[in-house]
Amino acid sequence: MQQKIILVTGKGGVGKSSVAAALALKEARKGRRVLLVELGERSYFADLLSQLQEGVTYEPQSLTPQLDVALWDGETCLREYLFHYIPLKKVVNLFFENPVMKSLVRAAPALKELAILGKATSGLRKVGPAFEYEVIVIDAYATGHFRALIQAPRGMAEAIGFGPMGEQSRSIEKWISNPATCRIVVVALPEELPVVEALELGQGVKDQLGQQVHFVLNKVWPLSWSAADWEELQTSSDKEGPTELRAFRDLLLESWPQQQSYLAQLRESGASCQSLPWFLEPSSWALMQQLSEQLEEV
Amino acid sequence: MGVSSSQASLLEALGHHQVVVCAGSGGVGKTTLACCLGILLAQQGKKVLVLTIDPARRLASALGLASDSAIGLAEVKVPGQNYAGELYASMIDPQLVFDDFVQRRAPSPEAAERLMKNSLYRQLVGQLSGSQEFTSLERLLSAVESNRYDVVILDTPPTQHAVDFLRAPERIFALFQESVTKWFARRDPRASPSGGVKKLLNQVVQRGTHTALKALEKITGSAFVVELGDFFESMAALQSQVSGRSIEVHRLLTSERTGFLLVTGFDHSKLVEAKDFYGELKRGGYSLSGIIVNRSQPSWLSLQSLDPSPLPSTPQMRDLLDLYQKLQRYYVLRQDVYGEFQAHLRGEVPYWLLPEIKGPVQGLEGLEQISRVMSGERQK
Repeated sequence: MQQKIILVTGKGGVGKSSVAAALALKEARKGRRVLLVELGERSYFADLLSQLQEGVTYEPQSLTPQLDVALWDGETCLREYLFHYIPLKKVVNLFFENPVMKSLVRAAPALKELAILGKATSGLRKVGPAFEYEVIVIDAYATGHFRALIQAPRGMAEAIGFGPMGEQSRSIEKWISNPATCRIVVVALPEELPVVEALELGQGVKDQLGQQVHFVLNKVWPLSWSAADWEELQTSSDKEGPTELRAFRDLLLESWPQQQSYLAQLRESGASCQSLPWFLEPSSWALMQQLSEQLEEV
Repeated sequence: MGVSSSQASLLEALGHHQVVVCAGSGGVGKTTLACCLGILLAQQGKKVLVLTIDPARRLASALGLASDSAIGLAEVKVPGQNYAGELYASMIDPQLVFDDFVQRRAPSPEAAERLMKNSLYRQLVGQLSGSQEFTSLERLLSAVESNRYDVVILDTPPTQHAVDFLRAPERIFALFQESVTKWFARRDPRASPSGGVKKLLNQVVQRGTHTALKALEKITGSAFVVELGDFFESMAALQSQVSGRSIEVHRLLTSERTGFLLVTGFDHSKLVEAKDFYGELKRGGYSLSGIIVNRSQPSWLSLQSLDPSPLPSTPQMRDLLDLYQKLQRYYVLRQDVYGEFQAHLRGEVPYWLLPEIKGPVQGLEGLEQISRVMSGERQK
């Protein structure tokens, strides 16, 4: 089977990380070897999951027998990449210890983003150390920074047309543009701002990479009711139950159609879309498992 | 004990500052609350400017920033206001601020033009790690220096973690350090780029530099190294300006004129982050004037237990009762997390809980409504 990369993004606070973890669990349950990747310098999952109390590092840690978790930061990805080309530890260390290189790597435009995507696609491109996972799920950056991430390869290729950097950039862009090898999942909440932002990002991805995203509308009201049930609720007596419950009924009657219209808007964009119920589950691990049972494969 | 409710005045904590920096990670409602604070201060008779990056469309139109006249560096008087003071808003476009900085601060128009022509600059300066933060702070400093406002509120760019904002400028300042610019700078400006690089290779000023540069060239190609050299050399012209500005920014942010307001969410990871940010600010000599825990619970949800007797007669209403009680249990559990957070602050920083307000913010009135909740008045 060819390796598959799934990039998960969305506005801050929409449940992006939980959905990414749930997708990884789902793939792992199918018997695939899965790597769940966090980006940045500190692990979010280590705070949430007691299984990971030892911390999450660049080297994968096992979460379940089929599923590993890793934390990638741009600098370490770049270091690994450099070592592949110049397999001399001394030179690589010299490079990263050089104060000028240090500040360059920390601030240079798009270099870290490129290194991260380079690492993610290294198995597909057959560059670098062996990468035995069948599926890589990346809990990627929130919307704004995510755009910068997927723009990095083309931006770099346009700025630097020639040489290894240009070549690599074009090859990375090719692999992340291909929906057979890379899928992009955009998570939203059934509220106006996250939906608008998700739609804009969906369009942005289409323009940049030429592929449709997959939308996940998270936290819709957890009521598996038929249309008849909703009609019944509409006509139910106004005098039933405590005041709070009646106010809650009115709120649901107003917000349920809204949630449905957000779902319709996401579908109209031409991208595939699914909704997830709001589980009201305080335990992160239990939540990820419940989400994974509801998620469709992407 | 901390100031544990919105009855204690947000204005008491923040009202005397000349600069308020609203920090927090993405998605916590920072921009909205920065605007609401602006409204509160304008209602107090102050002339206020809110600087924001990329506000959502609805918010932009509420502030009068959605029209064409609001683009660029314009400071727009928010339409439809009726305050004792005045409320202005401006959008920060990092590319424009950077260009403006280069044009105003470069030693000559030619030096400015050269930098702006560099392909790395053109393609990527907006994405330069730390450039949004740098331009935000530069914009803040020029607004304060203009002396046109009593208070300037900065809505910080969205970062993964609140502390990233404080660290980011260092990254960009590091780029302008003498060692970096010197390293890349060619002695003879008339030399061709490739000749320049050769020269540069010969000027081994630091141990290991030659090897490091070769390594860079090997992975990126000589074209990249040439562009990069040109980029840094052009940047070198701005070096003293940037370091001068960075010192002024630091002075402003650590002075008594400035207060930080941290906006955070109610989940565990956001609160862990708030703790980190608090520690980071303290170590850096900044002052955290308050914390807002936003969307602590839905405004319509009561945590008092319901008296469900008699049980609703329809199955649908019984489902709703179930769901309501589940929601209550969920948010009661969250109160525990909040308790831990409270204990951690030990009353050193005032904080406020803001309930989640139903539906999207509608116009300036919608913002005023939230600011009433913020100031402690009950929502109607």
